[in-house]
Amino acid sequence: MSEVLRRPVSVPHRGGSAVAGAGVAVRARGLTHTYGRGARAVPVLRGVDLDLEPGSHVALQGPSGAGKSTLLSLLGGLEPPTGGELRVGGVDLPGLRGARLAAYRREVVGFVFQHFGLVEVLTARENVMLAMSLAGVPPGQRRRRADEMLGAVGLGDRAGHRPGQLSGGEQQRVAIARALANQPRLLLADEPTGNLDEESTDRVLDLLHEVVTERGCTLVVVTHNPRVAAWAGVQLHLRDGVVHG
Amino acid sequence: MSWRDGLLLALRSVLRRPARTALTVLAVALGSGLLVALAAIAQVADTRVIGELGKGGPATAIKVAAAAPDPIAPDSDTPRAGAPRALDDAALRAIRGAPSVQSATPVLAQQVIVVPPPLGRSIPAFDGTDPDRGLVQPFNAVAVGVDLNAVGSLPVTLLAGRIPAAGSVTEVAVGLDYLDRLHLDVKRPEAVLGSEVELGTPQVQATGDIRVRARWTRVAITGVVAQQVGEGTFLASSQFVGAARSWQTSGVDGTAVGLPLPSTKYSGVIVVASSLDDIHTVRAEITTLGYSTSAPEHLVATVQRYLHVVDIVLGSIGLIALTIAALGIANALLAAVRERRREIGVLKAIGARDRDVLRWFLAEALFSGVAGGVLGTAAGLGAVAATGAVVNGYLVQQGLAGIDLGGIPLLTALIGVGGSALLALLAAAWPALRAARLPAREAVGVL
Repeated sequence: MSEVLRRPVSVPHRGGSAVAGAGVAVRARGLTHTYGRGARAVPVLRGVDLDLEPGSHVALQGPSGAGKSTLLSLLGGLEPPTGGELRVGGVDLPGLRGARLAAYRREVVGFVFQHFGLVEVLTARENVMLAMSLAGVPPGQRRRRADEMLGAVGLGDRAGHRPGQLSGGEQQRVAIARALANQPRLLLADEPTGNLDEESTDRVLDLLHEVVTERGCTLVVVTHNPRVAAWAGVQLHLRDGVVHG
Repeated sequence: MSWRDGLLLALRSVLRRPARTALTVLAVALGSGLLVALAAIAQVADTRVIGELGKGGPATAIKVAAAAPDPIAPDSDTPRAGAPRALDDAALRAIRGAPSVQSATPVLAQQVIVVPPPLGRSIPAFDGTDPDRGLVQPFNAVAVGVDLNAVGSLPVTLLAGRIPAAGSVTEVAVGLDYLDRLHLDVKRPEAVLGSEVELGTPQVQATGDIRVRARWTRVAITGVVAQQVGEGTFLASSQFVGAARSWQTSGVDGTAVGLPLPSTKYSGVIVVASSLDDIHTVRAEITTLGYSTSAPEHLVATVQRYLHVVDIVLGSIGLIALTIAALGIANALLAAVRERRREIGVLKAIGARDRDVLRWFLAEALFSGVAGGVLGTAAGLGAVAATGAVVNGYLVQQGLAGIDLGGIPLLTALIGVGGSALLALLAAAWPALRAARLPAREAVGVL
């Protein structure tokens, strides 16, 4: 592997009116991840080096199978890496397991999925409240804060609707409200506009831009959308399991 | 996630697939209903049968014969009787006065000539010519007479119809051997109800130049019984049989022609002990008085063993039903886990711990278990109540005390619902653990 490819990619803080200190720094060295073992082993990340400053907004691009979602899941603590170093906000992620890893996901990370990931049987408000319930927010505060979050994403009047009663754009806005419910310092978005039409894409992007700028959290968004990439300011390309700046 | 939030999520989740939930609840309801019904029926059977036996009721009645006990077999169920011994009012008083004797009912027996229907036909001549050849011939039998007011404390089971009215001299009940005599189907005892039969009591008037005449009575058959009161085809009132014996004893002794006069006032006595445990003592007391006795002591022990076996069988059937219900719950939850892999992953991605997911699925199973338990228990108790009503009607018809179901429902209901809930939790343990251990990466579906 060439020295260029192995050089850490460093991303400065580009948030406009970010709240200082709200985001977290991310540092990866020689990060590897392999699915399966032995003859069936599939190496996905082959040595990712990465430095993100707190509050930076990063678009992660690359062909399908390049490892974008895997990198995102490692950053989000969805699974531990099989090798290398990964620190988020000073926390050594490979050393976390079980309840401590769940606490990291709950307290540090906010996730926005391409498929929205809303619980079908709960209303928009209850979906947002669920995240707060997991974080141990007192019941008395949950409803008020959920309504505030939904109001902030322009869905104050749809709080009592279930996901099936909302459009794709509206569902993604609920998912953003849920992701922000516990005031995360690292927001991870996996193709957040992949299932949306153009109008909804614009609205969701505007919303994401507004909230991450306002809150100053570090944002990593996986996307194929050039507009999203342009908006993020920093584009990282992942190819063959290695990040290219 | 608190239990409250887990329950809310579980409640919404079980309503997500109403058909599957309904089938799961139905499976639990069937299992718990069957178990509750079988348990309650077994309990009633035990209470009723063992209770009756324990109280020393008719089923455990002691038969006292007008004979001395055979010294070599005084403790067996059916001892051989010794020499004849008069059973009179003094003996009856002595038996009634013995400790632990609940009741002592005298029994009369009288040999009769029976002319079965159709009545009014020719009697075969002594030379053997029979103008009504092919009809059932008259035959000799024994009529047993008791106080029919006390039939509830006697080993008499009504198979069809009703017991003759107390004191009646025109009504009798017959045993199944009567149907055999008439070549009738013993499985359809009601066929003889309402028919009339003529009973003749023989009286020997002279033994030298043999002269026998009979006193004829036409009686209606009101019921068919199985009875252990005495060896006889007919069960009648003590007034009817007493009158017949008076008629015979007003003649002369016909031992030479097979018609001896009764040697004792009563043919036997049916004694009921205060409790099952007293039977042996009472028998010993009566033996001391000089009379032969018999009682189904071994039968009681055998019945108890059989009832225990019945309990085990019914319990096993119920457990099989519950196991099937448990498999139904486990299957439904496994399907739910398969369907919701991504949802579980998302929940973990936003911070759910393994125990939160575990709680979610256990709560879901708990809903099915409790709902099925409530439904099944209600249905099971309904079935028991219906069965109890039928059994009660039968017992009352038999002149016996009815069944009291008052104490059963609350305890059984609690066990039914609680057991179903526990079963649901046990059945859900493995699927819920599988769900809880799913990795959070299911949320993004990478590889």
